[in-house]
Amino acid sequence: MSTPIDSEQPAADSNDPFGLGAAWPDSSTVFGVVQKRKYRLDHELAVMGGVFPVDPYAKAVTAGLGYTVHLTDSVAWELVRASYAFNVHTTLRKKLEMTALAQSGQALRLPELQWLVASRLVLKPLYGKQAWFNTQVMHFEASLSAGPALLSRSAPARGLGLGMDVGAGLRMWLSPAWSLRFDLGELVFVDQQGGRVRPRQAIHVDFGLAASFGGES
Amino acid sequence: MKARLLVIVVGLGLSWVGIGVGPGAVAAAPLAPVAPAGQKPAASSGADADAGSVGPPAAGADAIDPAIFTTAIEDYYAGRYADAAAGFWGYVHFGDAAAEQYEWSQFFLAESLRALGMYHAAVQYYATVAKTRQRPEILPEALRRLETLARERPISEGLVYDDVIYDSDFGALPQELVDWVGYVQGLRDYQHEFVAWGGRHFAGIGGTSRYRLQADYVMAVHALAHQRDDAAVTMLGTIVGSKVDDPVTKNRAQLALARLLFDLERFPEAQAAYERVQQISLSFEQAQLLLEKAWTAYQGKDFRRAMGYLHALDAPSYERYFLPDAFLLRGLIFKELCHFIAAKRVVRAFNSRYGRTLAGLHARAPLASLERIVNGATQEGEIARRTAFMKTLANERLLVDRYDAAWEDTGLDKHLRRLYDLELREQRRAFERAFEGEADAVAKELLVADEQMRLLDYEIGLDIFKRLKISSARQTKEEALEVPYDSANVYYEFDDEYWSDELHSYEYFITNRCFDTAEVAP
Amino acid sequence: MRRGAVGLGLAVFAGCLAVAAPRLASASDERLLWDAPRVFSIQPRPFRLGHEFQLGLGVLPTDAFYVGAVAAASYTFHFTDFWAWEIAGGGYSLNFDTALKSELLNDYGVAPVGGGGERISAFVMSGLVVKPLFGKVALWNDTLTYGETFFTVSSGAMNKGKFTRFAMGLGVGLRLWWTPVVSWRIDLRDLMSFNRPLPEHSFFLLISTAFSVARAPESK
Repeated sequence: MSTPIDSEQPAADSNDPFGLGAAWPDSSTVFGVVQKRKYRLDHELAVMGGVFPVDPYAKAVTAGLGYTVHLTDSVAWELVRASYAFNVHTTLRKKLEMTALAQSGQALRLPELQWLVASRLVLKPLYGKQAWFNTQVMHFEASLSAGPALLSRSAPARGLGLGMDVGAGLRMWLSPAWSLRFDLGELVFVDQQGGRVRPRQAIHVDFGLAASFGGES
Repeated sequence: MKARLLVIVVGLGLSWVGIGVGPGAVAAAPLAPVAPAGQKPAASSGADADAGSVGPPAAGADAIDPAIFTTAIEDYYAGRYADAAAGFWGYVHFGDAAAEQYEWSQFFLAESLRALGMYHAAVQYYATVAKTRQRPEILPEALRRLETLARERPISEGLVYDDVIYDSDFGALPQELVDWVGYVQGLRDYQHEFVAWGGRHFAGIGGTSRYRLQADYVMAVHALAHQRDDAAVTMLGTIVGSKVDDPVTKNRAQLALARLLFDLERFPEAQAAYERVQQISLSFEQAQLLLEKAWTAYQGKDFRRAMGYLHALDAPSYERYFLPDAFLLRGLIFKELCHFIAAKRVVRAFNSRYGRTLAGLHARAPLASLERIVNGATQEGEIARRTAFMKTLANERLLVDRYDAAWEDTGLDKHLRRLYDLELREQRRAFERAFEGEADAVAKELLVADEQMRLLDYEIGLDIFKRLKISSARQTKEEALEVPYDSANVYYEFDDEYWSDELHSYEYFITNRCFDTAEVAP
Repeated sequence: MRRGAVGLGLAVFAGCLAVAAPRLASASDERLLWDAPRVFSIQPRPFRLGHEFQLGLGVLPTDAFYVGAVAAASYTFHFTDFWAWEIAGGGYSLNFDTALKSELLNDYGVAPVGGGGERISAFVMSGLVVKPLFGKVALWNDTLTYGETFFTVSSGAMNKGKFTRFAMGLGVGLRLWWTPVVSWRIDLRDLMSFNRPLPEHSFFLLISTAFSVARAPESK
């Protein structure tokens, strides 16, 4: 722009065809509802504890680790969430075992979840804040996730099972580096047992603490 | 600040009035000359269209086949606007001005170009139809299109307002067009100080017309420019309170009224007027409004509110705007409240933001090479609208490439490119002329702000070491912040996160650290 | 066991919230003294509730032998922006057998005593609603809406099997406003029925629409 017009042809850059530089109206930046987000995630490591509360025979209490890469403020990939299950037998199962032992003399074996590894795409459409008693502000985000899962169940279920894990989550920040997570998910998998193949589903609830590193705040 | 505000009020009013009805109507490039008589335009495909020619071809051209017009009309009503434009252009360019459908071809060429998004080219042809008026029945439609485009988009003001409308008598027109024409003619009369004529034109505008309040606004700005402040206040107040549905003009009048009241040092009324100004977009105008509200609050000793407005200016949406006054005001307020470290930090922030630019100014670097000067010079007023118009022209010019295949035979693509290039070149020239003056003004403003910041820095130093008698010193009492947990209001404490809807609602709670007495020990 | 696990889970979550959340605000007459500047965005509440009518569909998912699809409704009166009373709320559950009963019969040749225990068919409750959190939410950073988080403590009666028992409910909910009149709610409640010293827990998830006649906004 420091030189006068001396050409009838516009400059090569179609975004600024007359070389006005800083004077050319810049419409590339669009400011949304939140202009400068306080909490941004980049790499996240989470320690999660959860439970599968709906199985009638054993409540699997899980402990797990998850690693997530946040590609943007709206999209992330939980590369891996690995959980190990500690099963607590229900009263129903104990009664069943006693009945089976009394009737057939053989111990009853029911499949239990042993471990679960999942990888999920995470969409984070909601980001917000709430005033706690009007004195403090808490920031949170809500997410939806889905992805394949690999699980291992004890005998008589055979081998590894493949499934799909979908769910929703809520994150509440404690600080730029730490946040609390609450996830509600549904694991759908194929159960092969006794020659029969049938789909099964299991709701799971997870709580955890997440550490973030590499992101801005 | 007062003188600057007055200049802003008058300048903004006049520049907005000067622009007229559209969001960015600016002076036009002159129409390219008509092909000299005797030169027969080529009728075969691939002919080199006479660049810029919008007028009739030379006398003696062969009669044009009427089927061209018929085919083009069919294409137009079938939605094939590119083909229709080629047909109408062919009829206009290769035919005779006496051909039966010549004016209709020009009109429908404009319609087709408008449907394709080439509004400037469309305006050229609508203006031609309105100016020549060979077919009186087309005139109202052409004017109606021009009025709509002028209202909704930036247009070439000189082409439409000066060449077509001003000094013209159109005879009987529908009332809405009479209002528009009367407004434009009155506007130009006022700009040329033909007040009586302007008044007559404005008197013909209907009471419920969308141009009624705009005409009143012109008269109010004229009164202001001639130092009739009281009359201007009354007129602006009438516009604001009018029942006519024109929120844009009312909002402009509200802003002008607020600025005028500030200049008249009627600060409480100015503050109330500023609160009623509606600003939605994250624009320079909103940033400027926040700064003016901050100054008004400062004058009313409401430092918390003033700091709240200044706090919003740190939002990312306003970072790029040139507002050195914001630093000055912030430093003044911190100094008034005896937060000296914070005041010093403001001075350092100013130096950090503008230091390189100031160094460039002192080194006599070309103003166009200093980015902050360029930003400041082009962020408001007619020059900002001119660059926005140029961007529109550049985008429309790119549209021509889409229709190369359809237009190559008739040469319409080459003609349109030439049309846009001429206009862009002229706009660029006007831009460069305007830029020199604007950049000079911005550079001076920055140098003045720098001087004031240095003075402030010095005064802060004096205040830090001001001597005080301990026995008579007592710290000012002030009410503490009370945040009710159950309230009709929601309190979001700021934590480095800017939400766009909060930018006008910040309140800054800061204690006054000054001592009550200024008695100094000998 | 499973009901206890759910109740424990809710309690743990509430505990995390209490630990993570900052200390409670003091009563209105406590004054906070300032030195360092603090900036607040003070905005009037855009949506205020008065008389609220809720209609929704929920699920009782945690029983092994059945899943209850619940049609629920309630009427709540909001005294202030902080306190409200759910005057009456209730639900009717349409119960569907899970595959467990047939699985037990086919795979193990056993059948549960009494069809697998008592099933909730209906409940009616009344209780307190506390709304300490109000805020705003950005959807895709493009659309702004408002929401609040509330907690409920309620008591009433629950029809379980052939009996009507005393019941209590502890819950947490989230509301997102659509318009001043219409909002969407998600409620999670632990419904506890008492026929023994220790309560039986039933986890209840409700998604509902609320229609509110607002109170007039107070001036700032």
